[in-house]
Amino acid sequence: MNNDKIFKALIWREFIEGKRLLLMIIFPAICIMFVPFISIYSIFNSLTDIEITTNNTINSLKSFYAVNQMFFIALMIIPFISISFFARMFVERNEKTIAVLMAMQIKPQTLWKAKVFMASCFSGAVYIVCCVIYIAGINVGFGVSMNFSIRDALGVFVVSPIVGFTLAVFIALLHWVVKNSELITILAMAISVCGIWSLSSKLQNMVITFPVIAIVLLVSIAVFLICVKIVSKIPNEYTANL
Amino acid sequence: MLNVINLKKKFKENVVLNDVSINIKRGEIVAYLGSNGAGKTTTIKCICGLNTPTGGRVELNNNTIGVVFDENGLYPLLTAYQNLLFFAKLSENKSQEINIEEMLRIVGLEDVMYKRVKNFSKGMKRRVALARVLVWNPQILILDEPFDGLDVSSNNYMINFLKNWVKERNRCIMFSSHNMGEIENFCDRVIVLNDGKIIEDDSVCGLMRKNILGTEVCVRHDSDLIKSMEILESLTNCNNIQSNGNCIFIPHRQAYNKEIHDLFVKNNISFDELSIRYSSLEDIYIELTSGKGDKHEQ
Repeated sequence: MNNDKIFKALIWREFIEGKRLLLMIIFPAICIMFVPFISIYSIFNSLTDIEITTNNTINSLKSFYAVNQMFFIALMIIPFISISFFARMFVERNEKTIAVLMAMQIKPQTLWKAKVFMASCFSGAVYIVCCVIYIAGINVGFGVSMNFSIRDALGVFVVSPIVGFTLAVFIALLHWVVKNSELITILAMAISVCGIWSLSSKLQNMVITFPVIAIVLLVSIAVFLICVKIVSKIPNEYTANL
Repeated sequence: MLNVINLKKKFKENVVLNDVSINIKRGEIVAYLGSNGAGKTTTIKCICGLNTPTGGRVELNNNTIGVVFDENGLYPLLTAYQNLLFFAKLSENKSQEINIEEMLRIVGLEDVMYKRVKNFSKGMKRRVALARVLVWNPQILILDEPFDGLDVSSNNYMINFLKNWVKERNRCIMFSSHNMGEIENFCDRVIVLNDGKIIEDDSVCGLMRKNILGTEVCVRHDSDLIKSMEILESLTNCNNIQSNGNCIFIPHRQAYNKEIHDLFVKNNISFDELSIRYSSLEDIYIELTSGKGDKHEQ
């Protein structure tokens, strides 16, 4: 069978389903965007005169915190949207659609990769929209214009989404290999919203440097590759009989 | 076309399949029967590559497989048309895409083809599942209770459609059902599985012939019933011949129709009907799977 053709067909199907799914989850995704706004509001209110030195104008300090918050938006939004896609695997397994495709000699790894690919595309698109909403909200709501250094832009628009995708891929792996995938969905959603928010408030003062970005990027890529490798090693029988 | 050779499957210490061998030729529709837990689904999963056999092998000879499981294998968020289009896109044969509307018309869903499958009834989903597998156009079609949930007319229509599909395209079907009427109408051959072993593999006619209940003859009103019974007793050495009105039944598992015809003609006994009564497929199946079927194993 032609693997490209199969992958294209799978992507087509995931896209159609994804559009429908997105309509269902777009509202909760927008609600999640309140989290960084609430967080940044409390940070701005807690700024004291001591922090505003001669070198740090109020605007640059606010911009620093606002940009720092953005590192964590990807970690909330991308796994949240992706999990909604991966949770479909549970339905597909119960409906035997995975078994039907495997009977047609389609590799389960191809099904998994197609789902990860489309989940990444959709969550990436939603992330971009959320970034726009956040930047506009900070600008209009708080009157702060955000300044991005190269390091910030690299972190916010490249590394942070990659970390988010890796988290999502790890969750996709769990959905693929663990029987009780509903539990994973609930846990992952709770972690992605509460955990990341709490992390962001603890790390709000941390200056995210290039070495940190590089280490996080390398760890994410390593975890991503390990997940892909594990999926390729899972026997068909295990997948079919979950 | 499909060759299963000495298939064995163990789950830990539990032997589910024990030397199962099946050969299905082109143009054949084979019923694969067995009680719950007999190993039918495991065999199907081994054939489809979803289970790895502990022993033996499955030869598909480069033929493609399409399967309809007891669950429909549909995507509930997609419409009926999109479900079929997806399988057409997976198919090697591009021209199949054109046939989607035709296929949905065949299964009687042309009016709801653009509605989402999640809103369909059980029978409608079953029809989409059948249409979906036909769009894929496999050489070997495996159907697990495919007509479950279909109404009588749809059931008959699908049986005839699939029979023609097999003959016209020279394909084969392996079919599992608990409805013996369906099997009698639909299948050429019956394979019965019990406790992981095949205990019967014969054509439907062959199976019936092996399971004769007896011979029945209905003599005319003006004929001598007593004389008729005496003739039949002496012919069959059977002392429990039963009569009901003008009809006489010889409960011997042997066909006596030719001998009775000749003897009655010779003795000027007129009769209206002379027939052999067979066990129903259901009775045969129950007899086989309740342990009395060992006689067929040799």
